[in-house]
Amino acid sequence: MASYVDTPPELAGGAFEATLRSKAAELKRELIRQTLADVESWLKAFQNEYSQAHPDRPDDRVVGDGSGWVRRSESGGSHEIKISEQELAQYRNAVSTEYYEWVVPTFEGYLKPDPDAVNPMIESLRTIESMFGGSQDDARSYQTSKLALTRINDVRSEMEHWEGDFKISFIDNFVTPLQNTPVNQAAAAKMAREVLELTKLAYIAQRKAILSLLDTSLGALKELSRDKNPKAHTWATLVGIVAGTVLTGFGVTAWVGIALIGASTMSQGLTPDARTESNISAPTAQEIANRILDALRVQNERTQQNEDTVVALFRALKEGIVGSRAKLGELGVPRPSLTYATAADIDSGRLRPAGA
Amino acid sequence: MKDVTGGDLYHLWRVSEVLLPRIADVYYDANRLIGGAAAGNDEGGFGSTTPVYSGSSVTHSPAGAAWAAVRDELQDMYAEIGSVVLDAADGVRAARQIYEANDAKCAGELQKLLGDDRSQPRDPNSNPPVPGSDEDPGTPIRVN
Repeated sequence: MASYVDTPPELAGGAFEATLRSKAAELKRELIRQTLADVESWLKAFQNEYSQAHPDRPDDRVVGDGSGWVRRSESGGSHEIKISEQELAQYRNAVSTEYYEWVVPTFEGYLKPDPDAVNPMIESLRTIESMFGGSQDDARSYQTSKLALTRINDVRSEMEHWEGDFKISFIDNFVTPLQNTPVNQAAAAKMAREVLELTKLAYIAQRKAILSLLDTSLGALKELSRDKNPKAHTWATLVGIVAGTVLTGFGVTAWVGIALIGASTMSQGLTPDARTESNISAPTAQEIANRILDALRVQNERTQQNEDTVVALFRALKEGIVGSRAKLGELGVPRPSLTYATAADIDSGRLRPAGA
Repeated sequence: MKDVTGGDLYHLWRVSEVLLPRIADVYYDANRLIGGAAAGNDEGGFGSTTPVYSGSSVTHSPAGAAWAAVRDELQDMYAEIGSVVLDAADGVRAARQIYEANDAKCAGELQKLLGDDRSQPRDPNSNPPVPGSDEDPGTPIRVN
């Protein structure tokens, strides 16, 4: 079934959760480790911590390889001092326990939404499509799978044995529209299902992009311990969801025009979008952390754009359904006037046996 | 005007008791598919990304809300059409009963036809749906 959006196993359920949690924990460990191990990163952290601990000495500068030397500026000039091992240990501790506490909870935020949460509803809509004559595949055959709906025609033939204006209205205003609507019922269910599947695709893409960001970030961090000429580690969001137009008029032929999800939607939707590409590599662990946060912001914007698309599709679909429910034979079936008949109406012959 | 016969009433009986309830059942089934087990489990499928008001840390989900509107509309539509079909059955049934009440001879003919295996087979498909069976319309789930 080409139009069916399936969550790849590595992005579904427990597998995704386990991968996300372990990679987020690894990213946090690596950020801490490199902040302490990479000289440039450590000098930056050391300076930051020292400045905070000595607000009265804004001009002091950490020097050397970060082993504890600080150039102290005083009115008479400057000289180098070595801070105590205890103070140094406090700074290292701050890096370990404070700098990267955001990492795990931030990534855990991407455990939701679960793209597979809409699966029961997708299945229900698929069943409804087939009940009303849609097909389970993309062959678009109109045959109804429900024997009961073929009985609409039996109603018509049984009523042919009667005549009068109640019978005419029963056939024209009730049986005929009832017979015309199933194809549109199937179309409405199909469109609703396809928008749900696009939503699902958007969240699958988010999961894929987040795992890829974790991998890219870990790669960029590993470069820090190596010699110069670090490789670029780039990351991009995935291409946004692209959909056809929701048809708001349900003619009898509406079905043919509905193709919200093309055969290529799934693969396109999971392709990196070059326009959002960014380099996660940076000279220090702290800068890499900032680039990760920037990338997450870009990802959130992409998800928001996708959600906006989905909202517009759902709204158009709802308006279309509301409009067509008011129209005879599109999605609307009115009560036949016979429903409101009184005994006097029947007695007067407005529903009478057809003359032999 | 032609006199009413038991056979004429039999056609109305078929429409109101055998055919229309089964058609209504398809619509009610669709209603229950939308409003039943699947509903309520689908909220987790949408991101809750938009702050309730600017700067709020409490968020809501516009996509989830937009879907819920479509879902409720479908659920309501299937319930409504199912009810229209059952109301149509009620109208046909009422008409038949009026003829039965006015014409005892004709009512007797209908009962005779319904009791005769040749004119009214025992095949479940030719009889009213068994209450509680798959073909029984039952009741729809109304949108809250």
